[in-house]
Amino acid sequence: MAGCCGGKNAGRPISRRRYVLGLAFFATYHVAVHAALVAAGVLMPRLRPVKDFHRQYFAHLWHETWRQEGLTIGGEGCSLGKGEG
Amino acid sequence: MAGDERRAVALMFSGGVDSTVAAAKLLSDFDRVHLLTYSNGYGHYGFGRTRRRFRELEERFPGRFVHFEASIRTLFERICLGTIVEDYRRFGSAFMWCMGCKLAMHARSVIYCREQGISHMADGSAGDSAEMVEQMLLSVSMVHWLYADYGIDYFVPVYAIGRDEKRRQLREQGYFMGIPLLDRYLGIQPSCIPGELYYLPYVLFNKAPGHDEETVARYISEKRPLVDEIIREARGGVTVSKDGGEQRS
Repeated sequence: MAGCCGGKNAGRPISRRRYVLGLAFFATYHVAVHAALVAAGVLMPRLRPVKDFHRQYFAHLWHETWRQEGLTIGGEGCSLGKGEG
Repeated sequence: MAGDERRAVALMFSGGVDSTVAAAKLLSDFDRVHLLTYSNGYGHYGFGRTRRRFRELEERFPGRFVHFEASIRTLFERICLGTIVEDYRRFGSAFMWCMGCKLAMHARSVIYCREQGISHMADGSAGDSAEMVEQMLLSVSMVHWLYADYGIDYFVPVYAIGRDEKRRQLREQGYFMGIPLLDRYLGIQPSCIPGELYYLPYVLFNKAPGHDEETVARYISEKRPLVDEIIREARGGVTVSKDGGEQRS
């Protein structure tokens, strides 16, 4: 899939530090969005399908990311923004 | 359209690097460029940035641009959100948020072009952003056929121009470039929280986005009748107003 839709960095190794920091950011962002959707869904029923969709998506993605599916971990240092282009 | 006194083109416009370069480039072939900016109403914010970019273009090329802003919320709800939970189960990926949004934008653009008598339509899709579902060559091709069925010539004027070259052009001409961060410039175009969430694993972990060509083609094909229905309704007396609601004329 990386050849057709993955993007130029897809599959490139990342460091363990980047993985852990990324996981924290990823979880925080999703949990904040979910909390906002739960709260907003009380007043705006049109947001309820969005909340359900987000919950399923986050659960699926968290599972994959936690199991490191589709990730390559073990690069040297944190390579964010360095030599990835 | 050849020989028209004032040749016009419509361009989907966010104010980002790609659509700004496309806007300037279109001026060499068209007298007037209609810049179309849409909001889907779901975590889509920062449209002041697009207006600032429009002012920059207007200062450099007075009278050559028209800026049209509209909500596509109801179209987006019909095309994408109405079935999103079921679609997510069937397609197994969240790409349909971005693709559904883009299809709603294209439906609205077809309606705009028909209302204004414009027969050329463009957007800032870029080959070096082809990891984004709506900018894959496959998506661009399928959208091309959508417009073609309504007699509109759809094209992507900056698809083959590299990102660095586009940035260089904007910098040289003194456009606002926002805040550079990693491979991006922040604050120059609207943001979309769901879109950010979809591409977050790619940005954070180099994890390929969860879509492939076959699935995307199936999704677009399945949604195409709905897009046609929306366009037909606009033609048959139900028009889409600027705020995205439907009005019967």
